[in-house]
Amino acid sequence: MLRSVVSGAASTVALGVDRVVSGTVNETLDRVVPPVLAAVLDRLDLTRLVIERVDLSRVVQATLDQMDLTQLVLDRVDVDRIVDKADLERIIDRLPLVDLANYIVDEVDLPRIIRESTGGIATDAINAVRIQSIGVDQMITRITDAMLLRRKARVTTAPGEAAQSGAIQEDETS
Amino acid sequence: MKFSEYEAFVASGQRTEVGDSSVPKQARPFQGHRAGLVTRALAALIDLGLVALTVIALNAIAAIIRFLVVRTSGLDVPHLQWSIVLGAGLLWCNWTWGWALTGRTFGGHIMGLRVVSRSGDALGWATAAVRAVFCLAFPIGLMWVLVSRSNRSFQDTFMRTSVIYDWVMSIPSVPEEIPPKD
Repeated sequence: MLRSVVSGAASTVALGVDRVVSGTVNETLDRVVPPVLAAVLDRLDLTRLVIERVDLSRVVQATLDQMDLTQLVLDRVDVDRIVDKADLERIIDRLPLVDLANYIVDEVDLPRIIRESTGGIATDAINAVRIQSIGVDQMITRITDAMLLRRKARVTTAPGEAAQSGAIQEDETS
Repeated sequence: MKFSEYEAFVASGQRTEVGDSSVPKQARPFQGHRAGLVTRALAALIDLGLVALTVIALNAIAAIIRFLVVRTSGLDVPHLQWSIVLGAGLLWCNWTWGWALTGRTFGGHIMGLRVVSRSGDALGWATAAVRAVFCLAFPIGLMWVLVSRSNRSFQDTFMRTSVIYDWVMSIPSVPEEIPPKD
């Protein structure tokens, strides 16, 4: 009984002392540390210290790895404003416009649309005859080469402007 | 096809430029290649038919004139030999003229064919004339296209010419006029 009373009193005293001491110490530290630290930092070139002693690329790499930059840009950057401010003429200057136009014309087959809307029946008929005769030419060539036991394809490329645009790889005939 | 793929195809020459876009897509790969027997024979037949019609028309006109002027009894039937000679002459003129000027005769134009020299240009007048003579004298030489490894007829081999598929009509450019000085 007596022992418990004594230990309780001791702990209460210890707590009180601790409060008084720690309060005083903390107060002293709050007064002393900031000016000391400020003085120390003033004497140090922190930027140079970081550059010399920290592996910045690793830090940046690790940071970037943890961030979703695309989402960050989408969330925080006003892309429309940037586009509004962009110099479109310089962008257009860098685009291969003729190639793009050729690509579009080729993809939508604009010549066919024009031919179909402006060409007459005669043009269609002539084109059909030409295509059919080319087909028959190819067939006869294949048959003849097969009869002659030829393995290599014929070399039909001829000189001239048209040859530069044409690119046919004839089927190998056996 | 994406634009990047298209660019790669054009750069590698596997795809034609849109320069010859007046030609249907399925015929584009054949442009500039030596034509086969059937197309060439059809072109020749068209020329032949045209000349035959011309000869018949000329004979008819001649017969009518003789009937009106000389007062023959009825319309004379012209001699076949003279008609053949006239036809051969007209065909020679037609071929020479067409091959030397544009590389195309009427039949070649219909079938989309062009005769070019070794350098790819239209034939000179002399070459065109000699080739026309060869074609008239030895028409069977066309059959050599069947066995030639480069689709050349006998005439082509001898004259070093080529008959190519070329559907694009090219109009000779007119030189720009120099404005007169004030």
